[in-house]
Amino acid sequence: MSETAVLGGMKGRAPTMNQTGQIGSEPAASGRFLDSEDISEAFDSLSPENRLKLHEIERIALRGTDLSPGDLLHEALSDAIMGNRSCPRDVPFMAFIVQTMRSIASHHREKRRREPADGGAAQEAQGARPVFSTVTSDPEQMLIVRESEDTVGAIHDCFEGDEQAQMVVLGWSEGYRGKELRDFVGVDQAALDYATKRIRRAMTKRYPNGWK
Amino acid sequence: MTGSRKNPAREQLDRIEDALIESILGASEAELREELGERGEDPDRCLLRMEQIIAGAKAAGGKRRMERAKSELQEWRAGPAKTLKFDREAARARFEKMRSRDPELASKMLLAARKGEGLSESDMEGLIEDLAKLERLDDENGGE
Repeated sequence: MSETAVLGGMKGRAPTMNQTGQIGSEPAASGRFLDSEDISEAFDSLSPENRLKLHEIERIALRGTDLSPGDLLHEALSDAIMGNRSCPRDVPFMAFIVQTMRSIASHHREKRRREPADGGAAQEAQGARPVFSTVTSDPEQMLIVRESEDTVGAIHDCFEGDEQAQMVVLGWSEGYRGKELRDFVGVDQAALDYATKRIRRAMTKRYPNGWK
Repeated sequence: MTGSRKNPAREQLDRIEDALIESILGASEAELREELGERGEDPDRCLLRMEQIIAGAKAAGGKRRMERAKSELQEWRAGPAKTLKFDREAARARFEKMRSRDPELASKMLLAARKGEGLSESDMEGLIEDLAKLERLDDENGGE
């Protein structure tokens, strides 16, 4: 199965999320979604290769959250067993779990981003209602934007002297894939695969728990 | 995403993450083992850890499902009794109303009672129970 085919099943199709804690929110025992027994079986039958993939993907998806390695996977798996997130039968299980992990991580990041740096202590002290600012001139928002820009810069710096890798990362950041990416970098598929491998190795070494 | 429109760098980071994840999904087991080894991590220990995470998640999920089932059972046990009592009281009130409004029915019942053919307390309870059931069925069918 190609890499894009794996995520392709889920792209733009977030795992169906039931109302957490709602009584009677069990997934249907049969039908369009896997039930909890199917989910358990699917976990048990994950190959060592897929388990290692999940291990590595979790490290990347953790970025910007306050979760520790293992937490994200644990949360995704228990949510799936609980039926809080339902896996459509026509979606590859790996794609479902990866997308669930990413969705949970994104939720944690968003939550963290909305929390004031002091945890809301200043607002509480003033008796003010918490306000989630949407104005970019907000100093905290500006800080977040600056942090993101610094991270993009730091990622490019990782490949100082490796022009091909830099071009691939630049292409990725523009959303290029396949032929578009090959044309952008000016290489064939074999060279692109080799550059991708170098990037993956450098990135997982530089950011063992994802970047901030 | 609200943040990405104001933060193009974050959007770029999201796309880089997408590409890295796709690249991991496309890697072979041998490549992944090699990469873990390069970072000083033992792939077999990682697999063991994964096994523990899966077992832990299954246990936690099972426990939460059991708690949910227990609370549903408790609710189910509490629910029908309350409803039944309410139905019966309402049915009794309606029956009394019917009897008081229908002189013919009231006199027939009085006559039957004098002849010793009147309804016993348990007959009356049964009648009210049946009436409550009929009304419940009627409600379930949308009053048809």
